[in-house]
Amino acid sequence: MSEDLRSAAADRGPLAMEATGLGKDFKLGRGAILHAVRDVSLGLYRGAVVALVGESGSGKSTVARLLAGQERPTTGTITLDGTPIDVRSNRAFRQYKGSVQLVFQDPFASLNPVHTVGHHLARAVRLHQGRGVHVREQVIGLLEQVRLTPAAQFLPKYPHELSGGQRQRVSFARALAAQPAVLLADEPVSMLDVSIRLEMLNLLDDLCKRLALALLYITHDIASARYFADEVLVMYAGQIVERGPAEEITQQPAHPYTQLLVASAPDPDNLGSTLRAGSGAARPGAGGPAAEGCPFSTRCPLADDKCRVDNPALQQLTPMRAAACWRLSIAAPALAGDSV
Amino acid sequence: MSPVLEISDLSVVYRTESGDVRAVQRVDLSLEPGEVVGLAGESGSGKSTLAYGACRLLRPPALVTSGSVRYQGHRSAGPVDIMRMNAHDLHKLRWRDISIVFQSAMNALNPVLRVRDQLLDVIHAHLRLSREEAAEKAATLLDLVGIPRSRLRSYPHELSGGMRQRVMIAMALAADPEIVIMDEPTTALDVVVQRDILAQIVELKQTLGFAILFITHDLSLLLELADRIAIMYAGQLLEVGAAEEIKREPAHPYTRGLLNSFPSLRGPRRELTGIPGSPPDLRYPPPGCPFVPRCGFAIPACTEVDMTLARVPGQPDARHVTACPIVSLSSTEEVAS
Amino acid sequence: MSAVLNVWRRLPPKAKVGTVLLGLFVLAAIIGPEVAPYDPSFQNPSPSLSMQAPSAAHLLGTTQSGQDVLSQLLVGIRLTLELALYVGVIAGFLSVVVGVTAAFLGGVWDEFLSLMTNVVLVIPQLPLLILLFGFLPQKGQLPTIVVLSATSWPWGARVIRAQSLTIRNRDFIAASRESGEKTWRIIASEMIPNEVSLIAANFVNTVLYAIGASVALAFIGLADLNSWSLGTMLYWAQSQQALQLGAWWWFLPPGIAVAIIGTSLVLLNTGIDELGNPRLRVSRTARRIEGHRVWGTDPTPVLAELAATRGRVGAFLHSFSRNSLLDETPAGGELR
Repeated sequence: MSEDLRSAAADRGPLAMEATGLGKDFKLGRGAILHAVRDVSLGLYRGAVVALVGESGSGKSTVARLLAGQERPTTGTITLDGTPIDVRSNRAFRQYKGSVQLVFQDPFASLNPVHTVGHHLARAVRLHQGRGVHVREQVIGLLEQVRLTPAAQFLPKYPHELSGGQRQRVSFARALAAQPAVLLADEPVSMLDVSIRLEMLNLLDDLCKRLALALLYITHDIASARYFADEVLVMYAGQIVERGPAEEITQQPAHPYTQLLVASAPDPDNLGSTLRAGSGAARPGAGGPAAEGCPFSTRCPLADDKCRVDNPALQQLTPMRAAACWRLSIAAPALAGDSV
Repeated sequence: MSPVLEISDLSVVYRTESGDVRAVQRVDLSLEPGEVVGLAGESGSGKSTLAYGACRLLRPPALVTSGSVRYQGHRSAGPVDIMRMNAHDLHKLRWRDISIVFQSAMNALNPVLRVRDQLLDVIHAHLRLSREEAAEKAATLLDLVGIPRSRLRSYPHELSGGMRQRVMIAMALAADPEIVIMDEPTTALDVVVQRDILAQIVELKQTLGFAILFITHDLSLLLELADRIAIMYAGQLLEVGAAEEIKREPAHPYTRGLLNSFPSLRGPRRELTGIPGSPPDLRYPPPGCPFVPRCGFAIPACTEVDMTLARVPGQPDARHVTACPIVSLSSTEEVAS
Repeated sequence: MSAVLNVWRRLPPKAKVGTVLLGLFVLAAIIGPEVAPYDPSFQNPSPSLSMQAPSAAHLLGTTQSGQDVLSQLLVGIRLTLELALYVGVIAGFLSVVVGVTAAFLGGVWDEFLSLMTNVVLVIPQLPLLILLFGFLPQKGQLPTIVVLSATSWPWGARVIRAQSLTIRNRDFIAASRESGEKTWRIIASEMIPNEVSLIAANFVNTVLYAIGASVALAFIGLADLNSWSLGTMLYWAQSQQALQLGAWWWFLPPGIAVAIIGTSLVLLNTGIDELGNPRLRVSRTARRIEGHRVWGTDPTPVLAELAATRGRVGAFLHSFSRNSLLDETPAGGELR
């Protein structure tokens, strides 16, 4: 992260976790290498929500797994409260889990069908808070925190007896049992009905502020990121292409890809605008990300020869915003004029 | 112009050991030729049961307990009632008159067959074509949905999510149907891909002229895509009307709640609450309006209303109807909850 | 107790038959030797009692040396079932350990364990058993148990490994790790409970195999011929020419016992399958709706059409059903 660039989330609380220059390569067959994550840097602050927005295949889930300690980065460092993390041994990994928890996307698959809600939470409590603690009390407390009340009624229920939203709340409760400093939520509401997504996001926001969690919200829906995140990072093909305060990024997107995302989101206030008029600025993803140069150059309407050869780095536009594009003077003339 | 599909008083139950689950209760809905009707509702509201039940595609223990579904296509001689058809005629009706794009393409496509074979399967099941004609038709279908012909030889897992869904759409259009039912076709896809697919669907509809029954839990999509929208809750329709009207003047509190559930990108950043609570148990449907426990505006009359859709007063379009009794009260009155 | 009754009610009819039959034999195994009227080895020298057809004194007749067949049968059931049970437990345990470990650890361990499994699997079992038995000094129960266990675990291990691989990739296992569970606990407490019906079915299969194999071995003389199992009964019957001499009471009872035990195990297994996977239950059978059989591939039935085809007798009977009272729609309530 550039020295001068401040995170919009930094005002909320102390820095809990920082990732610098993260990279992850996967070896595919026959010598090919997939650069799933390239040079990603971000900071998570207590009491703040940082959103990582991107389509599937952008590498955002890989970033989550790296931060959760499930994979080891090929390059870069991750620090927790200032010290680099160590998850090499099983024991170190389990200890790390007491501070950093990941919530999964699919509420229908992340709970074991043969165990009750009470069992799931009791195990989590016992693992993280040791013995000598009144487990049932703690479990009831957790259920109340995620607003599954009356809590005692939910204890003997099996996952298939709960709705998607209820299951996801149990997953949150399980993560909270560890009393973590950092909560990584990988598309926590994508598989739920839209009418309950808002409730869940409000709940996450509330938990974040009350428990001073550093929340990373991963999604492909930029509208929900605007709604409750402090800072938004936009990812494409493993790289961060734009970052800045949530409100500014969504109201005045600078990078052509961010502009595509904003244009693609359904706009109830402007019926049928993009749909009936024909598709938006960029072409559909007929070509995958480019191997050389800017990865978005295969789809970008502004791409020129330089874009196809050189991969742009993040360029600071304002004290809190940056974008990685050679054509900012055309894509976002108002901002590019102020750039350093 | 008479509707191409007219569902009247349709009720569907699931006969389970613990009692009848009343999944759809006395629903009236019609579809004009070339129209896009959106069916919106939460999971478990009965929207898929309604659509599949109307085509008699539900498996036991489902049972249609009342109602008729009149279909009048431009190819058929006269109107037919799908509820009275035998299996043979139903087979002819399926795909040539009414086809379906299923929800999860990865589950609906056979993972061990190439795309070409799956398309040929559909073509041969419903059309009489020679081998060469069928092969050409399969290629043309892919052209129609914007997939390169080289993909005929791919397996489903080699295609991206968006492409798979396009293959499903191509399959649904193979026999040039009058009506295409789309069951949450874009739910598992990213926003960008979703937009492409929807644009493609609009284009195809304009070219080929079929009507669409679009089922989804995402009302925001329907506001952009549909001509008319039907809001379903706990097996019953609560409101039906033109998309612009629903957006501008929603009559039912549930509709208003749904419209408030979308964080929007434009306009000010508002505090949103969604709709707290959950739908009722369909084995014991409550009397009157099923939304009462979650409705902030319920009055005692709401538990006695008979749920017929009545015209919303003060609206220019007579087809904007709702089952909510409160709207018949003057809009300036404050309703104590 | 209510949980047991619940399970009983959900079993398909075949499995209920199997359970009852097996129960009878298990009962015989437990109390058999106590209620046997005679000592099965007691040889009565009197020639008048040799090869006697069933009579009041000997309900299943006598063998060539005057031994009571019924007593031998009662003792034999216990021995055979005991042996099969031991094999089932030991081999079952080995299958689970190898299968789950190979799936969970993956990598080199998986390769190694799979190789071992495949090697033991490919070896032809009966010839191997005959060979091994030829070399073993003792021919009592223990060698039989050991040899049968050692050769029957691979099949189950393969199946359990496949099932474990699918479970291992599911989110809730990753979520367990995320919670901080230790590996052995994940295997024991999260994975295995999801495979219980497979493990149970595998156990029943192994028991079935063990019965067949032990009887076959005993029949050709590779067993402790001084002990009484169903297999040794058949051996002696065959070696004393019971078939040629028409002494059906000597070889039929043990033969039929083996057949019925085997059948009851197979029937029980179908029940375990369907209990564990409710989807099998629904798709395999037609459902009865309004008195009509409806298959999964039929179009959704419409009440009015069903009632119309009911006929007078059907309509009369239907009027007694609970459903006829609940139907509110006129079409359903009308009797034609």
